Amino acid sequence: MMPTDATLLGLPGSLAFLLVLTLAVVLFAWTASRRWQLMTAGSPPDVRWDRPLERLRGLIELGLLQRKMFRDPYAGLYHILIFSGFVVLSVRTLSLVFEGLFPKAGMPFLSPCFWQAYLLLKDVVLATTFAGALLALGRRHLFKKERLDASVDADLILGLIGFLMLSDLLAGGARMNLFRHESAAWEPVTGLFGTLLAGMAPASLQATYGFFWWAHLIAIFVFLNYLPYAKHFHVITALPNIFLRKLEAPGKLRTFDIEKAAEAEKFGVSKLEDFTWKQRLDIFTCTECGRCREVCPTHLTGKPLSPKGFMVDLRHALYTDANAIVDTASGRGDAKTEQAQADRKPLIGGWIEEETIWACTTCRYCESACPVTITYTDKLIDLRRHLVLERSEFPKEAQTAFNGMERQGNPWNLAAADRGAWAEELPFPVLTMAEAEKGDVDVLFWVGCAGSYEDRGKKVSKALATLLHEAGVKFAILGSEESCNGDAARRLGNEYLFQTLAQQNVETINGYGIKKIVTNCPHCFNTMKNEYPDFGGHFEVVHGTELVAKLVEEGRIKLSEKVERTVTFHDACYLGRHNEIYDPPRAILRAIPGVVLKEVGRKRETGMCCGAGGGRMWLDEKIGTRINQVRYAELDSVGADGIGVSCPFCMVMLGNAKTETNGRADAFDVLELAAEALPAGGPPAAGAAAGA
Amino acid sequence: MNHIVCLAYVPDTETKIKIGADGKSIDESDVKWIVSPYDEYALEEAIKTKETKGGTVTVVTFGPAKADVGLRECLARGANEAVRIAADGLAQVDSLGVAKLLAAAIKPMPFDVLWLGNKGVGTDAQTLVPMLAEFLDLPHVNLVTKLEWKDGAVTCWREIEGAKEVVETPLPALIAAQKGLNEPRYASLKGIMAAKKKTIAVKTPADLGVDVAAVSGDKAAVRWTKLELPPARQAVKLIPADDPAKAAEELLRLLRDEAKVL
Repeated sequence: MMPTDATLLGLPGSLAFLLVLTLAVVLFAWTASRRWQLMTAGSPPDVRWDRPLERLRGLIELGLLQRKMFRDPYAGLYHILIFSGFVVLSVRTLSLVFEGLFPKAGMPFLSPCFWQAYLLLKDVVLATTFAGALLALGRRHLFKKERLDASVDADLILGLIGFLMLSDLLAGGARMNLFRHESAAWEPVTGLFGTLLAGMAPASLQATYGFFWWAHLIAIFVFLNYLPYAKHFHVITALPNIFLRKLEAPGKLRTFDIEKAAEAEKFGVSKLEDFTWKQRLDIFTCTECGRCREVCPTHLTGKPLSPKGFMVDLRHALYTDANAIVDTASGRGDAKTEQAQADRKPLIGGWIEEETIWACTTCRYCESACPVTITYTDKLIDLRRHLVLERSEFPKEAQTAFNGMERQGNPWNLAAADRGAWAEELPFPVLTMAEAEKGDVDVLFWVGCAGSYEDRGKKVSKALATLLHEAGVKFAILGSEESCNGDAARRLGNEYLFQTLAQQNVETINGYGIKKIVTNCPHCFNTMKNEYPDFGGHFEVVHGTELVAKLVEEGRIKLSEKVERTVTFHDACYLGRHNEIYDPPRAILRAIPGVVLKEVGRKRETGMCCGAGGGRMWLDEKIGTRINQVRYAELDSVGADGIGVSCPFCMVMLGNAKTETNGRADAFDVLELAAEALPAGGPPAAGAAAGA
Repeated sequence: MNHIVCLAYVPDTETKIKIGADGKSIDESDVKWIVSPYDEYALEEAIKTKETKGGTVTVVTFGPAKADVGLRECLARGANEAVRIAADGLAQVDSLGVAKLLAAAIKPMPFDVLWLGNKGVGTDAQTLVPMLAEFLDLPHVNLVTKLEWKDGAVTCWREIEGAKEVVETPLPALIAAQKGLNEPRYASLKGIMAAKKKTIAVKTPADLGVDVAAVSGDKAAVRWTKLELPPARQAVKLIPADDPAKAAEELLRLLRDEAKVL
């Protein structure tokens, strides 16, 4: 007898099952619709339907094959076991539901041959999923990683998954002893359980079958309805979240229309509804796996920001305020809703501390680590935007930088008129665009603030100018017409200042009809390449190391002088993770005779931030240990004489760390070393200048 | 409590000053203009006081049309109204003339506190504060770094050489700010957008009944006859210390003959 052939509490079994099923589905539909409203209520527009094929490719690679999960092979293994269980066993679940509703109907949909093959697959997967749940519990309790926090929720779900597999096997084992039919051969694991139960009396077998069948299905319904309330919501949201992920350059921030925002009198994010639906889908999707936290430079140095903590806090806020948000959005303006609105804890200062918001260096290590493509920096910067643009509340050190960018076009607030002065010290003339003959310039050398004013930065600018000069590249600078690119302003939340600078620079560059730009500052590079198109700035932007590496490869620059140094290399976040440029600086180092490159452990995609990004260069670092010192110690421990960098801010941060900690290795720019290896000698040796 | 803040729109302190072709004015072509930093302290204190005690803040300047940018910055930070006395097309007006113009503009306006920076960073004459107080018949306290409000009076901490002096003045009064009084705020975008919609009241010297010809150009009490840039800073001279006696001798010689400090 099938389990729902029997009457239950006076009702026909199949009717009882229909009632339970209906209850489960209705309850889930209700929760899902509340979650949908919580995700979309008041959302600003966020279009995610472009480039469907690219989205699909990512879905397969990151969602189905779970590439990022295998960076931790153990976790990758158990996760794919459980994930494949969900996929394969969904058919099994449907068949069980069908069987419950129509106990006498058999399996009408598939040919017996297919069905038997499926039964075999299902049986194996029942075992592997169970193993997966056990392995996952092992990671949580026996081989724990720092990134994981104790979670009753996780244990409960893993326990439930284990129970689902066991109950299916027990029900199946009992069933096998009751009805001996040919499919038994196709269910070897269930067969084992059948052997285990073989000695039982038929009545007990029937009771066991009925009990575990019901228990299995009810557990599924409980599981389904529990998902949206727990971190396991990702079972439902992860694949859509990956499909709808950000496809633009990862280092590009969203440009918003200031005039429109001013009309709405709303700048940035001050409450949960100000986040777009996709940002909220990110918040739903966080699985609390902590892969972001274990690599975050602020978390590792004792700051209050951990990307995982930030996401969990946002989700806690979203779920706590869910009724107020959803009921307000659906127009239920009753007294209870109003009270719920009034009782809401403020997002900034309540759920998320201001110190947390300002801690981020926007290095994006978290984003590259997240297996479900959650982004964090966009949310933190939206909060900064609100603080700066609407409340004018920010660390006071930033004001000096803002004023400098506004008045003199550089965060040091040094005279705009002196911007091109560094070039006067070169033995050959460097023309400004205004001085150069029209059409006689192939590439604009965008120097950047650090390259124009900061002592080490100026040396690097001279090195690049010398290298370009040696290669016969026709280049010019903008001199005092150049202004800060606005990266730090934007990442400190001052979108207004950023847009002012961006428009001004784009106007200057377009005014000269410039098509190609080389810059040695990864921050200028990222902004001009990825963010200026929003302002009508469409030009080819290359980093100094890209251009020099190409000129070396083409033989236009000859690096012939021997430079006997062992060096390591520090990847700049805005060059590496943000723009995936890893090889050119290394190619230059390898091309210098005598240089031995000794890599550090955390390099390339896993390079650690120097602490200067996200405008942190201009803020004091008061909490925890200093990021630059932690990174410097790691680099110094490689045992090289020098630390190659390709970013003026990394240079300052690591140079400072050397002085602060009395370290050994000097920081230098790879272009300085290249210039040193020029046949003619080039500008003052990088080694001699290092640490200055 | 109502506040009036007088401010000067001056070349940014980082500007490389170039002398104009006439040799007695500055070349304004590459100059970035800012609200004088000392006036920013005065404005900040006025806005802070308004925020806690109510009232309004009106900013007043004497300057050409471009000074409207500075006035809008003040409105963005929280000033309620702005008045500009138009300097467009006028010959050089000295501090005395400026004091007369400002006094004429301020006289009809009711206020409790008149605020200034202790100096502009343009000519650094530091004469405007006492002159304006005299014309308006107001008590004035200069170089103020701290304040305590009382009913109808204010206690001021002012910097004097090597010490702080604490004085009390009845209101209305003129208070001139010194660095250290506060940290001026940064305008929010919300404020900037609101300031864009406000109108700036522009008055000519004639509107104020001031004969500007009598206080400007050749008639001004102070006339600029020539401007010179300070000598460029010399590079550091290193004296080799191989022989201490010789090095000391060389140092003495340099201090006596070249630097002429001995």
